[in-house]
Amino acid sequence: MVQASVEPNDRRVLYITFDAPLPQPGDVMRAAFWDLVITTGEGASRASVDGVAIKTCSMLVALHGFLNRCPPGESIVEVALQLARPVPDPVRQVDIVYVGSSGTATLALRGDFELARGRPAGQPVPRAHIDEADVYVDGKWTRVAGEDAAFDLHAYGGYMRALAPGAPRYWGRAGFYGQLRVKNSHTLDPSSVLLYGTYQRVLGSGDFHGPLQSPIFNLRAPGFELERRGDQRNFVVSPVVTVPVRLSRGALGPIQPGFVYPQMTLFGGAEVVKPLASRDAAANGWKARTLVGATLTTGIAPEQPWLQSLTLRAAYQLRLLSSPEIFKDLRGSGAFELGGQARHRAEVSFTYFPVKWTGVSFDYEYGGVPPVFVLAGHTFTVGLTFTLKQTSYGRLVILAP
Amino acid sequence: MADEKSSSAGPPKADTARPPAAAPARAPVAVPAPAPAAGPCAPPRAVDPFLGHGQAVTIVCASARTIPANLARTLEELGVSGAPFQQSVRTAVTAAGYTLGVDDVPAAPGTRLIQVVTIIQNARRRA
Repeated sequence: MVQASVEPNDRRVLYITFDAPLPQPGDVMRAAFWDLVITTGEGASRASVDGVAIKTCSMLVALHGFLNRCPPGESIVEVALQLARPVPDPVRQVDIVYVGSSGTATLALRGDFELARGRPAGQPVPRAHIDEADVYVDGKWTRVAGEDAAFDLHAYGGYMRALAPGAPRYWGRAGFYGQLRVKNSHTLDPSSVLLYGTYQRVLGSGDFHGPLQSPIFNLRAPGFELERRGDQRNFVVSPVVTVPVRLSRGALGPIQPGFVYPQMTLFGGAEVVKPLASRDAAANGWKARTLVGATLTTGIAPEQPWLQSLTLRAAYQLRLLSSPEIFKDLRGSGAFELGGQARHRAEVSFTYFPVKWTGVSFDYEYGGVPPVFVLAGHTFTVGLTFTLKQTSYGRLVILAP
Repeated sequence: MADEKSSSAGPPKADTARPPAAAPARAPVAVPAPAPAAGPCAPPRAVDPFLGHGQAVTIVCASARTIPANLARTLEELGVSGAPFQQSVRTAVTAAGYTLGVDDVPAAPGTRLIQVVTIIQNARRRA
């Protein structure tokens, strides 16, 4: 059992969802196997189950709702228990106890949504108040013998919310994002700061079309690219279309817990740039960059001793410039130069977590980010990683560039 | 097996997932068996005031293009991008004749499909 909820429109019904391995019909379909303890402000009481209905795992069967028998070859993923009496409201907690042929299990319901608290029949669904907040920080501190310590920091944060969330028409989402990059610096002086407002809208119904999901239109405006050491400040407007791709054919079958199915995003768009300040006056006019790229994320979290999880993230961006821009080639003189060559950027990060919150990351990086593209060549880094959450790819999913 | 009887066949209803509320106490649950598609002789489709659990499961699984066996999985595990998923769920709920705001559908990478079901199942029928 992984989750259960009270039916808000009929509090005598309780839904229970199962995880792999899915139970056999004979394991769950007897009412006598189930028992409930309902705790209210007046104390705890037992509630018995009158009947059991099941939902099996195929999409075809799902279309027909719950069943009272299991078709051959099907597994049970959900159970609907009909109780002898309704779950009262208010209620503090409901404990579901299973004692059956395959063992025992318990599940406690405490949340407002699970218990459908304060939602009498006839009341519309309450606002979930879901905003997209996305914060990502990745940092390294390295010290080489005989040299000063150097920082390497990458931080990314943003917030988005729907426009006119109560309106029947879909208006998209708006918000703001910021990205800070400190690259191989003796101080925490950022080599690149990107600040931008953003507007996001899903184009189409949002459905899958083969392996592709509906495209997402992202407009970054107004945007600012700042770099202090290069004394470069750009104003940017950037429309980008992102297409999420799941590397699967047809409906995705059962997957094991912790396995992150490989997902890509393909994106293409433009960056219209006006330098507000620059080291080179020749580079001050309006210019455009064509931006294309892709991301890939996958992972697995077996949560076994010495193998909590493995994650792989990769991103590639290519910027084609309409006119020359400032760059710094660390492979050569290291001086600021003006050039119109294509700006490649590739990042690959493979992380191994032997224990839950600490792991080892292997990072490969090539190229740089605006406004001053620092061409650093191929860089390989190995380091310790600490994380508060094992797998989260929201950053790459929402706005990869 | 406690409940082996089949109930009368009918068209797939919006809320076939929910055992009937009027069932007497201590009576076995009477839920529909797999039903054929609605034909010309089928009774008129019931108008439910709420989306219901069964239809919510169907919509969520279709939007994530997966099967109910993955209801316990997160969007991240299923390789589903949140923004299009959110729009797909809302489009399907609206097309079924119920109302749902954009912000009512959770779509964070760590959101389980069953959490979305729990939230959208009470979407109210459009007036």
